[in-house]
Amino acid sequence: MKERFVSHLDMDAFFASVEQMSNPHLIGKPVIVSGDPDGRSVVSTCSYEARPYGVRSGMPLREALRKCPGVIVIQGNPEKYIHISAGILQILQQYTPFVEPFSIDEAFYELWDVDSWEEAGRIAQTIKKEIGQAFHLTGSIGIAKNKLLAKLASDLEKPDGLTMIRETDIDPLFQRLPIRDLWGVGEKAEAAMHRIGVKTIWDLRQYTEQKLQEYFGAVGMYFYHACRGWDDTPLVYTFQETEMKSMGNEYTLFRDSRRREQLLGILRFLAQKVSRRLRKAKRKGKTITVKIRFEPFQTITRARTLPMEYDSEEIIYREAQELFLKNWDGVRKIRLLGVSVSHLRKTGDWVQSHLLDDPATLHKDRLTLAKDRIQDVYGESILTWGSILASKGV
Amino acid sequence: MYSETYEDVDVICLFLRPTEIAGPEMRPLRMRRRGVIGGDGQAFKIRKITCHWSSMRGKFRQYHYTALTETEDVYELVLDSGTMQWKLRCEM
Repeated sequence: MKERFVSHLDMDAFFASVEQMSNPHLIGKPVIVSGDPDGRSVVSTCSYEARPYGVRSGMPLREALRKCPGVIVIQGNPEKYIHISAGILQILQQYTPFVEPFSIDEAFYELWDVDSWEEAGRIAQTIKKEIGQAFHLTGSIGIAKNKLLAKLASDLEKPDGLTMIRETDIDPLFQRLPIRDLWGVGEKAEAAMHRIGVKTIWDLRQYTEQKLQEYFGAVGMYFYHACRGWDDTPLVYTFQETEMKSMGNEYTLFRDSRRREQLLGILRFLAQKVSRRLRKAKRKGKTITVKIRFEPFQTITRARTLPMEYDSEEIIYREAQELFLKNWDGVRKIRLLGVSVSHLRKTGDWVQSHLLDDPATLHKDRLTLAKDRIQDVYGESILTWGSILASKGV
Repeated sequence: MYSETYEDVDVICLFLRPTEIAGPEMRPLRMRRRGVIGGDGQAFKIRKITCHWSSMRGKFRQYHYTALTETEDVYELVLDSGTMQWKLRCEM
């Protein structure tokens, strides 16, 4: 059987590096990229200069500022990052059509016409060089026989690394790597592993498949395979269409609030955003889910499945509002709200008539379509609901 | 210091063949602030385009360039394809 050469490219501190590249005055300085710097956002990425201070991705911005007082905070610019990410994918696609974008700053690629590790390594070096020339950015590449090991490899030497994990490297590497380094082991799983005496990836091998399933449920089977370096997951190439499962948006409030009209305005804003995305993607969904995060950090999600699929802003808002009001006592302060729609199906260009819907809803749906057409020409912010503006204090 | 201005600017740019991967197809070379908000009609030679990307505003594409001038200042320039006007969006 032909040997597989799967590579994983992980861009180094991507958002922060893009900002440093854009503004050379930031090079060599601690930089954080976050959401609204005046709000309560978290650190999306930080530059390597901020890391010795203990700043990490996902950390609340306030905590990061306390740890690194002189840090420069920049509001992220998704359009800029998407554009550069697409350029990086284009570079990968010059070498192989088998590219799987994994996130905005990560991608897998598989080389099918390569016969040796040396050749795979040479191609990786060339890719790194081309990315450097085109965007002045660095990335780390891991090469192995499967996705699991390639992802692990790209993390071993950062930044600007190139690491290969061959068959003979697996056992010695797993004997020294902490269990947290295994793909899929987060904070909770790590704590559970420690409780059963598993400190390294290798330690996990002492357990049988049955035992791991007993400890971790369905994911136990995955752990059994992963700790042996086994993974036969295929790459999902860019030219293969992946099925969209759900679509949603969340909003973190600037300050925790119990103001009903503000919270309903935010729900309206989220319903508007989700329904517009659904219509653009030509999808409708039948399950509407509301996520509510109360002060300080208790999160609940509540869902309702409708008899048929919709993309109507009115219906999504109506259902989301009902779910929200049913699960909020009007007293507890809210920190975050989210609305998502799942159980999606493609709609094509035809329009389903809703025989049983009331005329007011149909009228509002027509209004939404008119609003869509105006927004398509003049941008999202040109037209919105008064309740949304009110919720923003306008 | 980052400050947003959105002032009108004049830009001389070079059009390149769109063949390079991720390379700019249009490269601003010089810009002149009109002096309404700041700059007093000053002209700047652009030493380097450090980053470029595009975004949509309604149906019109906007082309963004971060430009490092010879005076070591960094500006974000935006060309709106709807109005074909250049704007200086911010000074970084």
